[in-house]
Amino acid sequence: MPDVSPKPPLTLSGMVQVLCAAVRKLVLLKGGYGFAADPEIVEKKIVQFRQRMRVDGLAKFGVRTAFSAVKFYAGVNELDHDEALGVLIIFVETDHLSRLLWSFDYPRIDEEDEEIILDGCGTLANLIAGYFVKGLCDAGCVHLQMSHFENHINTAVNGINFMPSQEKKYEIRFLLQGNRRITAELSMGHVPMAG
Amino acid sequence: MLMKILIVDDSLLDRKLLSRSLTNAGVKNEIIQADSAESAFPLIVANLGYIALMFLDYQMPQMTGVELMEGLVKVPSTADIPIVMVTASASEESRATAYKVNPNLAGYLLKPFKPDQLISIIRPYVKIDA
Repeated sequence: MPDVSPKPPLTLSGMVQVLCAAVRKLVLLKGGYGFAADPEIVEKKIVQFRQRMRVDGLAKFGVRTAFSAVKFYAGVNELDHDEALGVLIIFVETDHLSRLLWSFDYPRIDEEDEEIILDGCGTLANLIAGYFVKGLCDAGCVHLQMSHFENHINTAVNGINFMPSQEKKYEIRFLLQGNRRITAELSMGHVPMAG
Repeated sequence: MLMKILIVDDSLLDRKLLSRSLTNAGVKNEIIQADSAESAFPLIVANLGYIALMFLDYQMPQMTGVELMEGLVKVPSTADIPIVMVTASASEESRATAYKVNPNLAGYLLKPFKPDQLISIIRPYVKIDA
């Protein structure tokens, strides 16, 4: 008899593993990039400012950094009311963004054009978030709705909207071949299991 | 008037990628673009009867691609426009939602896509010069 018992809820660290697998699948299978090392995972306390998360992109790599946030919702109703369960933020050095996107067949982008850099980083975050949601579904979670991406360069002056009850987040540092780096930050509340 | 292809996507890069991929595939149709569901409306109205195919992004701010499609399939004059949903959401639930809203969906294209995936979807709807 197949085991039909409900799967246990995923912890935040379990979701981090799902995220790592999603990034690996995307960049390896779709972009043809290998990893130069295993992802480095660091638990961090969320620093709030007026109920928004402080986010500093410049501190990630010490160079000009674009970052994009995608929020997740338990359902369409929650999406409509902006009641997010969590947020994923993707950081990338602006100098590496064009080549990363090009590996996914996107056109070359002008790395001096701030608007196109922001759009490109959002596009990358959207791709990763899509694979992450699929990974969560495969792990037994409900299908999360995704927000549109919110983009910044170096810093988000007013912070990033998140689920204020959350106190910790994980920072995951991916080192790709060619010394190209993607860093992710994930904060997420309890994600209901499907069924 | 030559039949056109409409791309509706808030991401400039994704619009560029689709447009370039269609051109590289040998598609000769004029390609028109909108950066939101709201700005797609006047384009659809102005080109009624002349849209051979529409690429519609799933996740857009304000009105989503699914919401726009929901409106289009309810109106007889736009219900028959072939729509390809384009999305980064690889989950079966997203796909099921799109087909539930529009059972006649022309295709479901997952980002990032490869040219052969695009061509197999568009082949029934537009002429491709090899």
